[in-house]
Amino acid sequence: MWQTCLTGLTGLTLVVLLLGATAQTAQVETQQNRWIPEELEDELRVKVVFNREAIFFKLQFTSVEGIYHDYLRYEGGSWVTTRGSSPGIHPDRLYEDRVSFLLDDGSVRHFATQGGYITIHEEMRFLANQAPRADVQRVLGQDDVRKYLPETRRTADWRSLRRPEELEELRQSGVFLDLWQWRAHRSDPVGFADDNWVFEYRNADQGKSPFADNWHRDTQQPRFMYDIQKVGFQALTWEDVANHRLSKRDLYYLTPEIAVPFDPNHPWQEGDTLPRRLVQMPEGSRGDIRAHSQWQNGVWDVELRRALDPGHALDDKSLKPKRVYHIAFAVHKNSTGSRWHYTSFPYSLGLDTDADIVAQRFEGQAPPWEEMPWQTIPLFYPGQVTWTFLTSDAHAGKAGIEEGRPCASCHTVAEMGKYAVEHELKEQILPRWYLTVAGGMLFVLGIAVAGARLVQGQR
Amino acid sequence: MEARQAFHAITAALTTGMLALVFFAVLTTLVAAARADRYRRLAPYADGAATLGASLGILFLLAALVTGFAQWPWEAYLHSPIGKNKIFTALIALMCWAGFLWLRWKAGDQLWRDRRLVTLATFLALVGFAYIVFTNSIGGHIAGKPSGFERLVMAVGIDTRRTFTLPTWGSALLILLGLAGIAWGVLPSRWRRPSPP
Repeated sequence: MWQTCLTGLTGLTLVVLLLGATAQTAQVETQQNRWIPEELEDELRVKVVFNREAIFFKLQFTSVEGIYHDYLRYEGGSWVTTRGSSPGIHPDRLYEDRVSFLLDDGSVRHFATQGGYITIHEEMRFLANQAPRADVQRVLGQDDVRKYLPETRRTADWRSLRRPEELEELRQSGVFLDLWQWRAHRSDPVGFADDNWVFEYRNADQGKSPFADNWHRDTQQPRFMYDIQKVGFQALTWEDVANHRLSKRDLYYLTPEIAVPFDPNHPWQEGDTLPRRLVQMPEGSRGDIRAHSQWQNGVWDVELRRALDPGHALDDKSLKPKRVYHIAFAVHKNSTGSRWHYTSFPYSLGLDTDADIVAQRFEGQAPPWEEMPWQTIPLFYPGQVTWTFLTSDAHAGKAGIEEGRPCASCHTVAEMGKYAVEHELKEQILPRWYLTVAGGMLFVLGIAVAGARLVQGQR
Repeated sequence: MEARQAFHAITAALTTGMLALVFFAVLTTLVAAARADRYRRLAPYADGAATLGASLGILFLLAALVTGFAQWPWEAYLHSPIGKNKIFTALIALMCWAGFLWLRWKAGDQLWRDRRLVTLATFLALVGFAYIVFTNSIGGHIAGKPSGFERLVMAVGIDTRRTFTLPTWGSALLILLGLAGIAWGVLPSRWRRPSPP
């Protein structure tokens, strides 16, 4: 009796386990802007200090040396451009590393609790439901929809842009996010980070950009090439670029100081390669953030410095001692751009006052980095979760958001990446889940009913 | 909202308590029925407790499902992996206990005398109880009070933060097997066997 029971129980358990072992989540789709990284979590290490004039950030993250970004290659008698931003890892692995953060002084609603999610909306660039270009050009005069604040729209639709006078009033009252972006290729070679701000769009600060286009659309040729008198060559080789043979010490970039106007009559060779960006000294508000970086043993060490008050109240958030601000980080690595980054929950940043991240005050010019402990900021893949979704009935935490509860009060970092993937693949997962529920229920019921019949048969 | 949460907590606790009692009653019946000594007399009492307890447990479970569905909009459940997993485990538990009762109702006292039926009934009770514990564990997480049980589940490779799904062929196989079992169990004998000439 016991042996039979045991054998039967073991058999049934094995059937259940076997079916369980074949359980899987939906396969990743690369179409419709869907690409999911293998690692859903990462981390960033941070130190922050300030003195009388400036605030200093030291940021550290692991990555391959992502210094390459957009090149022009001589191929078959003409110049071709490598692909720009693309879903997931760049096909030629030519996309720069970036570390960035959004900063606010409490003016933007929900940023302190929900962080960068408030800037992500349906139909944005590289979402599966990306808005048609013609629509965006008609409404915004841009090619695509990028980060914006909910306050700048009348409804959840990106098309419902507020009137210019309403927008101006909001901006004047400080309702915008400061966006600092360190770019390994497009700003770092000249010792700067890009200075942007998010409001009705992801805008660049006033002034000269740290990078310009080295591609002449009319002639379909580069605008500049290397100055052979200064660097000893006129172009890089595709072999070196494609195989990542250059390092941070090499000239993987082009600046005005080492460039001369492009010579179309030069006997260009197959595989000659030029950077598609001319990296230059930024000016005005765009050049507020100084940067210095090192890459060693797979780790980026980035130092950023900006005046506490850069004097551009409509582009930047000025910082004051003893005040608390809010900050949310992002890291682009492994040759990925646009939304394929790792993001953090929002944190409070206190300048010599209690907060999640405390910026310590120091006297003098050189930050005492060695005396400061690192603070680890967990990062996660955010997927295609939008503010529209988070504030809808489809998100169980909608009420929590309205009550001002932070996302970290309901979710762990480990969950965020997994939930992002589930959200991204929901159209594939849901039908399969319905089938699994039906299959499980019918199977259990079926064996019970069949078992009962067995008894009747014996009777 | 708080009232809805309280009602769900009450019905879920009643379900768990009742079905835990049933599970131990089943084990007691199983052991008692297999013995030849005086403890054998325990079997009918334990069987009665299991049957009554399972009936009440199913009612509480249905009430827990109703109060559970009232917590969030349906759309929110479909967008929540953990919410979907909780629905799945609750429904499997419901089916296990419904199957157990069906078996007991059809087999009567003979249930504990037939080795195959004892195996099946014990299996249904075991899996049904395990799924109830699992459901409660997920519920604890949703309520912000995660239990250690989920860590145990995750340690064996089951990730409760991802929707439980089988490959389509797996689900189709289960549906076919289930339907075949139900058909074989409920269709009259003459439909399954040709009448003698």
